[in-house]
Amino acid sequence: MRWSFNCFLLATLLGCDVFPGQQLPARPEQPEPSSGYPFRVVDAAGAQHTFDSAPQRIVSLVPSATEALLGMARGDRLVGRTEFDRMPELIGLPSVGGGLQPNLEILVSLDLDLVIRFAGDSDLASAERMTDLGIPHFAVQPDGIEDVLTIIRDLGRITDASDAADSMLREIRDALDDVARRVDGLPEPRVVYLLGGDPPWVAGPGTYIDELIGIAGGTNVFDDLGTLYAPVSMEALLDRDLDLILLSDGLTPPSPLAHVASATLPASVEIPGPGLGEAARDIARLIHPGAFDPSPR
Amino acid sequence: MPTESTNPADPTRSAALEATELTVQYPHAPEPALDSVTLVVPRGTFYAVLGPNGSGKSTLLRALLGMVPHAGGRAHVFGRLVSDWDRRALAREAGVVTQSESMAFPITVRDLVAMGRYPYLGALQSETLADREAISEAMRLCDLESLEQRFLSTLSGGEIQRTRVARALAQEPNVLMLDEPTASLDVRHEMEILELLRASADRGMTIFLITHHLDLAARFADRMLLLDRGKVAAEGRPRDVLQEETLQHVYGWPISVSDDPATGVPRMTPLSTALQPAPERAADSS
Amino acid sequence: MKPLSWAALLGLAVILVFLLSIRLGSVGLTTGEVFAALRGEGDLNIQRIIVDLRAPRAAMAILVGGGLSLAGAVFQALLRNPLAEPYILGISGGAATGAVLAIAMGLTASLSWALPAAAFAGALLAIVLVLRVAATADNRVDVRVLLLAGVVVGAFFAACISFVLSISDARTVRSAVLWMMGSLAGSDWTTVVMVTLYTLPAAIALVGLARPLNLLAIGEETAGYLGANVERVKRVAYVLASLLTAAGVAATGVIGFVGLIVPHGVRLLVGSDYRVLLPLSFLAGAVFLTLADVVARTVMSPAEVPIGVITAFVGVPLFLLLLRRSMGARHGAGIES
Repeated sequence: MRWSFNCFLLATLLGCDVFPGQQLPARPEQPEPSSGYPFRVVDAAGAQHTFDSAPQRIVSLVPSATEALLGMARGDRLVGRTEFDRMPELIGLPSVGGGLQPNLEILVSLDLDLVIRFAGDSDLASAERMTDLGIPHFAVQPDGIEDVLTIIRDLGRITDASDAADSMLREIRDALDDVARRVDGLPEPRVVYLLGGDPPWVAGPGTYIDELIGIAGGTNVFDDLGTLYAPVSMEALLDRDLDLILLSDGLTPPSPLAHVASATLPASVEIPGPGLGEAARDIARLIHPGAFDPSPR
Repeated sequence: MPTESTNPADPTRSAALEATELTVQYPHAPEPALDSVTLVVPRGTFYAVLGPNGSGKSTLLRALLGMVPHAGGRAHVFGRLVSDWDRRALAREAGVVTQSESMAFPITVRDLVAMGRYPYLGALQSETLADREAISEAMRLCDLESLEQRFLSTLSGGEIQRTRVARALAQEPNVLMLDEPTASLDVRHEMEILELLRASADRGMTIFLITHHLDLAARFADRMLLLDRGKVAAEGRPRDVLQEETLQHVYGWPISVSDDPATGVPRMTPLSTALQPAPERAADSS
Repeated sequence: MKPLSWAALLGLAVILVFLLSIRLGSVGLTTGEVFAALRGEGDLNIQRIIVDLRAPRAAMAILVGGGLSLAGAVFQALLRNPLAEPYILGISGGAATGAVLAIAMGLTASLSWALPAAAFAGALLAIVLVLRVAATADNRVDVRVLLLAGVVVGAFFAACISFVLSISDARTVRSAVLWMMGSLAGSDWTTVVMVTLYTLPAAIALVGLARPLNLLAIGEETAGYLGANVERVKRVAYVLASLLTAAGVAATGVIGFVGLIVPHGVRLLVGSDYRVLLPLSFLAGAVFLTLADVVARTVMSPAEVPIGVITAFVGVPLFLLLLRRSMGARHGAGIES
């Protein structure tokens, strides 16, 4: 009986590839967004929402959404924060615990109009409990650049900050276009983005990091990763013939790769939000320093 | 032919224990542990079972109570086939003191003796007056009254053994079966237990005692069984069983049998096989 | 103190601890607010906190704490070892494997009951595996083989878990690890009802087995001679105690130490008579886990300390204390031979 269990386990593993974990249902078609209220939108978990007015009491469990709200001057609607939100604007707010398993008691007591949470999460039960407790929740999934832009646009509409959101989006798109123009035609170095850990975790296809690297004129050597983020062996890193290692803030390059050029990115790159344009520039400057040479042509 | 009564359910007419061609084969063993053993233990008898190590004495006890599967033959307890007995009913008839036990958890003397009342009590039923009296009587017979609340781990080997005998007595059995109960006891404790058993037998209880003390068995038992490698070597009164040639053959050691002047029963003396027996000893032996 | 007095004391303690558990939490509330909420009056949010969050959680603590302790006591009798506890036979490993697979395969994103169901299924698998390995040729259960089989099956499942986690993404790993640490946070009334349906009948049936379990402590051979149906008792006790454990683990993850410390502590206070030990273990376990949960929720609010951490931090020193006391008291005169 143990053999059949082993075979079953093996079949399950092979069938599920490399455990994507949070595979989302395909995003349904968005209805035409109206400029005012009532505003209907489908969130990243496929749930329909109708907003009759702008929510006044909000908690965001997702750092990118928090950044977006702050960026469109809606930080005054936030009445609580997660343990990881340490910026001065929010530090005085009551904490609801971690972003993945927030303290439900505190959420209830805050009398919220909206909670912004991660979609496709391993704790659907948590989302269902929020529904049972009468807490409205909106799911977002900041994986790729388009996802992040959608978050900014949706949050702008929801909180009656469409103008601020639209200008934010324009800024980002302009910055991305500018970077793409500057590196157009240049050879594409082979790049990897290390997030830390041992064995080190890397960013794969579908992540905004991967897309930013592409826009910045590089090639992500792990564009065949099969999942968004995963650990890889040192051998794989050596085998992929790297030109540049991009490191998360605070990391040092692993010693077997000391011969490869490396650079550290600022912490702001970790949170995909309004700063996407800046992040693209930062990455592009490291990949193609020449294209950003301030000296006049 | 075993002495079965015509009405097997009539307890007053059948023998306490009977084996008919009883055979037991342990898996992977080259020889049967018991080979066509036939015996009858009449009611009220003090019946001793002797034999060398590995001769099947303990297996015989287990087989008679149906605790090991029979490869052949039958066993009866008070006239009924042992496989027809309900376990709890059987426990009310037959009390057993096994060779050794190890307690998993600390327990007092009183609690251990009280376990003998298990065959009489339902799942959550409390002890009745009858139960308490049986327990007290059993402890009195085994001289345990002063040790009632002591934990077993604080007692000597002899005291522990007396407690186990008391537990079997608390079952108020009609046959008491003991497997080498005096193995690690000093002479006083050994004699106390044997005299207790003898007194019980005199009052009508059937005693089935496995022992390797030939002398004491000869003194206390009414009938004996001598086993040799799973087969019956001799059966009957002590005087008839304890013959020199039989003993030498079974035990593989020269043994001299004489009448003990103090007790009048046969006394066994193992002879030395040293090359030079001392002259004094040669003059003493008969 | 007589067992009945202990039972009354512990019964009262359960009620008190239940009330304490709904009185205290991450959000500070006055006693008046709490009682208003219980009556169905007052602020709707406070009612939600009390009735939908704290009360089912306290009820779950009572059920799981009691169930694990009861199961622990039964395993101690079955395996004839005062250090046995409910997870020793691989149940927690099986449950954790089921849970981790459900999380990793993303099932929990689409079905909220997928996680406890998978955990329960994994636990059942472990129970059946161990029983099959331990059953001998003539269908008897050899408890020494049972123990060995349980340890080995548990190790196998631990390896499965490690493997799955090693190829999963960060969020999966975090969710899985948090689940394995055990938590009462997800308790709702539906789950409480389901766990009750498992726990109460199993607990009652096991208390009914108290006398034969007492006999097992002396030894299987003697227990048989005293009239117990030893094989049936072993099998029934194993299955019921395992189901009790499985239900608890499926609902709340792997909460450790309760099943080991509570029955052992109760044993040191009232002795080894299972007619007393079993019900008192249930009550004491209920009190212990509910108190531990109150601490877990309030000591570092708004964060929750995993309850397995509290039971270990409190349980281990307590256990060592009781162990030293027991070793002193029981070996007075020593054994002469």
